[in-house]
Amino acid sequence: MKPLTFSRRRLSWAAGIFGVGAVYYFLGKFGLSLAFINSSATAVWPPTGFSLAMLLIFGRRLWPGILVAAFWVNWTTAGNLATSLGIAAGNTLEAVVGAYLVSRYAGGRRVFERSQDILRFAFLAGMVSTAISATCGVTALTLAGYSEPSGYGAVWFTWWLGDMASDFIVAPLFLIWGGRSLRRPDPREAAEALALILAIFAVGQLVFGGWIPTPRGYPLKFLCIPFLLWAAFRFGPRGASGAMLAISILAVHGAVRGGPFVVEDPHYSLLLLQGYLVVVALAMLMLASMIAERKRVEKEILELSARKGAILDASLDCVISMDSEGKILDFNPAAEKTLGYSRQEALGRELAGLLIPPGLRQAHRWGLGRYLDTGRSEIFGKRLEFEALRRDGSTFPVELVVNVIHIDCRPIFTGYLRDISERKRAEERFRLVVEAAPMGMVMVDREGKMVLVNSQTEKLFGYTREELLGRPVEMLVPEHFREKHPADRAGFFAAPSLRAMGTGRDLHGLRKDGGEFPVEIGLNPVQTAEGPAVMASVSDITERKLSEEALRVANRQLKELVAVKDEFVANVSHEFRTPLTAIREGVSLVLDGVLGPVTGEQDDFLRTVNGSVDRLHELINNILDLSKMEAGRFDLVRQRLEIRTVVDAQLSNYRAILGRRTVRLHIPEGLEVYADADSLIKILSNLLSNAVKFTPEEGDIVIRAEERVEDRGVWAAVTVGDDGVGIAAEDLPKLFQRFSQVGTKHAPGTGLGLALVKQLVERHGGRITVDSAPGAGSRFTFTLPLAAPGAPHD
Amino acid sequence: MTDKKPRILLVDDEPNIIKVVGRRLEAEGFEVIPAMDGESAFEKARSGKPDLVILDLMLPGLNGYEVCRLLKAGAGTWNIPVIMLTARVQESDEARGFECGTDAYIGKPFRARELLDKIRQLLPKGSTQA
Repeated sequence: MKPLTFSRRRLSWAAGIFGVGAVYYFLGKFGLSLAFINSSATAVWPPTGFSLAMLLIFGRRLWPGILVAAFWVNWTTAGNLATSLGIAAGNTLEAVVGAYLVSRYAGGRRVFERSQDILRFAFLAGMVSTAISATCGVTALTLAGYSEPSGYGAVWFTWWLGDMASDFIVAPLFLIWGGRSLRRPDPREAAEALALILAIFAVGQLVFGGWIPTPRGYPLKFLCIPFLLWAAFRFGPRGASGAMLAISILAVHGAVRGGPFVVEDPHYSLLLLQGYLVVVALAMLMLASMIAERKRVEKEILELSARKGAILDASLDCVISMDSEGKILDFNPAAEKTLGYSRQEALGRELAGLLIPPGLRQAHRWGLGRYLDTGRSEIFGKRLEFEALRRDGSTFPVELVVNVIHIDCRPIFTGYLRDISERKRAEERFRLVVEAAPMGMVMVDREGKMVLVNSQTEKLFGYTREELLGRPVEMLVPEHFREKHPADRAGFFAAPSLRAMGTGRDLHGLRKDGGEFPVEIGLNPVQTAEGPAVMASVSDITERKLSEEALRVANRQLKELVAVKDEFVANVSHEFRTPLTAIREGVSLVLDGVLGPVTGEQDDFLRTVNGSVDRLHELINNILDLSKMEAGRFDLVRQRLEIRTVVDAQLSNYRAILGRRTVRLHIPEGLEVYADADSLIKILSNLLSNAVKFTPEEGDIVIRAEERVEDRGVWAAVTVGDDGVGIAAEDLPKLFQRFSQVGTKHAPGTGLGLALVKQLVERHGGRITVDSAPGAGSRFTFTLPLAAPGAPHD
Repeated sequence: MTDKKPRILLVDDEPNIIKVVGRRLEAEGFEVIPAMDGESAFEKARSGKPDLVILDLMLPGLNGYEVCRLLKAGAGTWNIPVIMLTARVQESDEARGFECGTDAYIGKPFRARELLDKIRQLLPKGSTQA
């Protein structure tokens, strides 16, 4: 790629050189055709301006084109090789040096956009670089004898001015018109341009073309000035340079044939023409660029103020400016909306009288006066809170920031103002909630200062609000904990979150009177206008601590009481047994005939006594069992038990009291439960004893056992049924409560049996239910865990 | 001495028990030696060499457990069967009784049949009244 790029650059360089050279040649020929003292002296030497413009636009590397073309022009016009070379070298150097100086010091190809650059251009290109060309050329001509040494100064001066005029007339043309692309003119502009062109042509002909014969020296030439101004004002640098070119062509053309500059001495005529062109061209360029600059600045200002206006219009804050007399200068839509005045009404009015409540006006005026006198004020750039006045006379809280700028030593104040009524109301609500809270609420800032406390806090700690606000919160913390507190506080602010303070620690508060009390503290981070803070809620838990302690004591006493009761029950049951033994043994002795024959009625009564002794015995056993069970001192020793075997053993004990009652057994052989033997015996004997009690002398008792599938698996279900009096539905729920015997007018029981049975069954994970109705007998069914088949027997 | 009645030392601090149980035992053909406290019970067991001892546990002085231990440790008394007959019916009491060497444990109140069965079971064959 590189060789290609290189050759392409080479190619465009060569083309540039050729093009610049060709144009230069023809411009030179054209320039020479306008010469009128000798063949080399022209009023304007067009190639100078052209070559400068080309080197500025395309770069100084095109200089060879200029050298060759300049040489060729001179060689083919007059003179010999030496003069032609000298002149060509001068022309080339002039262009290169001029282009260098302008690029370096006068903005380069954009030189005509700024008036300062134009002045530099006039000096560097117009005066310095042109001197090189004039010196080289005139020296060469003089040495070769084409020019008289005595006329060196005059020729040099003419040459110099001709090149200068070219830099002022021809160079701008290329640099200005070759700059930014042209905007398509609208019809009115086009018409005006046409009119201008015609007018320029007309006046040019009038002044320089000799349409109106005038006495010599009559200053008709100034007639051109208004038209050039027209071009400059209306069409900017482009118009000015174009018009100037046209005037120059007409002037030079006219001068060749006579015209206002032609006087006796042709040199003098030339000088007048050149001077005129140079001065006018420079003036017009300056003027046009200044006009363009002004237009640019105007546009910028317009844009700037439009942008600023948009910002002010869209602002949610009121933006109000005020001058040093206190009069309103600016009033944005937010201000209109918030304060109730329209912009028109507000502008020019005194701000204090309009927007500040009467009570604050004097302070405002005093502050303004002091600032104007001394330049001192504390308010600028700070967030302030004031009351403001609406048109309807109501006041409202505002937040305000004021700044000041100085324009021509006059201050202009701008206030940015925000309605904070809503926030104030929220703050007030917050304050009321805090005040109404049933616990002490203390808001603490980062430095540990209390910034808000409620009345409950005053009550808890015994301080007044005034004594607390602004003071360190550590004053409420007991001495022995105070040292650690600031570090804990810093820890909270490092990771603020809702939490309980000192979880697991006993916290205490310190009252004003030095007393301490147990507290519970919740911490809650809050954001305030002044920065992060923490809201601590403090509850006095003295009461709770006391009641906790009371509860502990009561519990201990209760346990002691229960132990005493258990002890008592054990002792009572023991004390009962000995007399019971004596009674039963005594009665049995008689009944057994040991003490002699017993009559039928005696036998009957003695048996009744023994039955009662048995129930009493049962009662004592049940009381003892229940008491043990409640105290948790009743251990189950589980083992495989065949139901049939256990039932048979129990029945043999009951043979005597069964009398003529029939017991039907429906118990499969080998059905086993996994249970505590003592428990099973107690369950069966209690149910059996109940059944016997409630079954008439010749009734039936049924004991049935089977496997039963429940949602909890397979259980052994044992039912003891009688055809006794039955139980009323309303009594069923009470059946398993202690001492709640129901419907037992006929046959008394202990009232503890079923309660004990229920506990024993449930200790095994089983359930007990009853199915009964008055006159239809009762069926008690309990379930116990089935022994796993194949498990070893104990 | 097969014609001689078997002798039973009946120890209980409750006179009513001595009275009714003693009468029952006599009716069953036993000779009853009563004792109402631990020390006298132990003394009578050593001197009288009964065929069986029925022992209450809650006794003034030496209690039943201690008496049982002494008997089972004594040279001439270790082979006398002991039946504890007591109102203490907790499993732990019973266990303690067997630890002390008793041969049977019967809770009060008891049935006469139960006691007599146990006595006949424990008495040496030769001393049993048919």
